[in-house]
Amino acid sequence: MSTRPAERRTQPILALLVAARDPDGAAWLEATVAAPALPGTPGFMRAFAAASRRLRGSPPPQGDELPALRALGIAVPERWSAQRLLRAALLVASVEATGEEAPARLTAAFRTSDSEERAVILQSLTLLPDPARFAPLAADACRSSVQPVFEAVAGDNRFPSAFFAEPIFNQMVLKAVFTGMPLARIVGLAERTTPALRRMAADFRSERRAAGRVVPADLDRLLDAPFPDGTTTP
Amino acid sequence: MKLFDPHIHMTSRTTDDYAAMRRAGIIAVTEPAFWLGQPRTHAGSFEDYFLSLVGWERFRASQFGIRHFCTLGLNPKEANNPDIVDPVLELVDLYLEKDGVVAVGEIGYDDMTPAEDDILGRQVEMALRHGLPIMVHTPHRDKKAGTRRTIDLLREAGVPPHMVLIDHNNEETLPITLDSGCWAGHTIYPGSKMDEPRMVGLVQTYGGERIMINSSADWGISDPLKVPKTTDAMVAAGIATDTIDTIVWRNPIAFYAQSGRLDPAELEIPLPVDQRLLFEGNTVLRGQAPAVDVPAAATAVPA
Ligand SMILES: [Zn+2]
Repeated sequence: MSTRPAERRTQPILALLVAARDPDGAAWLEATVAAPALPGTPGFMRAFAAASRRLRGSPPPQGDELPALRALGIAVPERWSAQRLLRAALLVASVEATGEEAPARLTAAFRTSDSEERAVILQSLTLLPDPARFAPLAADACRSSVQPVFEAVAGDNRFPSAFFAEPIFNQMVLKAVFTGMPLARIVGLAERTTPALRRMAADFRSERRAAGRVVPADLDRLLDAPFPDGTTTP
Repeated sequence: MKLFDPHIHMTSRTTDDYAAMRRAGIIAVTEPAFWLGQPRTHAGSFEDYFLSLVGWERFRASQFGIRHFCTLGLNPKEANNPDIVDPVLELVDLYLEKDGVVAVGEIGYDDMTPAEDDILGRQVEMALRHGLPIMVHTPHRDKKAGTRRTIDLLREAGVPPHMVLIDHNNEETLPITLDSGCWAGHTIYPGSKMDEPRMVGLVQTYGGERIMINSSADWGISDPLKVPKTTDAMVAAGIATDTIDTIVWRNPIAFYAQSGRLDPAELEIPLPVDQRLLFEGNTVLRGQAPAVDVPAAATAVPA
């Protein structure tokens, strides 16, 4: 596994944003990541859970912080909380210290996480070294019935369009339509819209019409948009 | 009037129950970890149960505009199985860190065996270490002795009484509980533990200080609307609105807020019902038009 130097800058930037909010929280973070517990171990899970009780009342990312976070790979940092920054800083340090076991360990951490912890993991995937290796975990998260968890992977996240294989990406888009998540929140949807996805969406629209039920407006938009080459859905 | 049911096992209840509870004014609940009617035989079953209490059930409640908190612990009914005790207590220790967990519970005595003593003691130590309140189940059999024995054990362990809720009180145990300085819960059940007229009598005698009522509704014969029904009975009996509000809203909040994980100010803002989130798969709205209280954009973002 290779870690590019650029990626090693992520954790210090997150730590700076934490420090700007709460020096105590920053000191706790520094002490915790000095010898980071590996993801999924009891030591990590305790720190990851306890992080939400720090930075209470601290502001979400704002001002100059927003472009900096976008540059790191967070699609919509406006929707992050201060606690997410702290938890992401822990997570990045922990995964960077893990090496090749990272996918198995992060999957274990995900399984023993509550809904917001799962959301942080999913929203942080693009911050981790070599994110492609976490695609099975992200795909599994698409099966969650807890809508905020599903939306953390499907919405405001660069991961799916960058790393999902077509069948998984298409299932995710259909599930977003089913569950009422605005398709505008799927990053890179236009570039990933294929004939197969349009066929699935068209079948779904036809089922809805046959049943006399409302067709979500998002579905029409997806189907009526021209392909990048100018052609449209028949 | 805003209502808080501080003890209800929603895992065992239907979506009809959630909808009826919200209509009746219940906007917050605490779900204590308990047994499921038959003993679990693997520690791993507890892990999935704890995960559902901090994840799926919390989300399910939110779809009906109800805030869901939980308490975690190894209940006394399953404390007598030596095969699962140690690994389950390790899980309890780990999951007590999760955000929606507002107490250790429900713990206490069932048969009052030495194993129950040991497990109660170990979980009391965990509560002290995590800085969490304790929610105590009192036994059905030999109830007075069991209540006294629990209070003594907690006192000897150095737990301040304001951090303890003794539940399932009746006419005989309530004075013991109130004298100890602990909070006193009352389970209003159809045809057993306590009913609405008897509860009205207790409030007329003792007032509202440190008193709570709950439904303890679960997979058995029970009624998730007992808090609103008892509230109505108290109103009809002419009990002061301020006293009722103390019992059904302010006391549960004051007790569980000692965990540092429940923000009283946030609870005053009603959680919107967002059935847009209830669509397919396991979710509850199967084809009906979703009810949405607020603009979708305001609810699509996880906190
Ligand atoms: Zn119970």
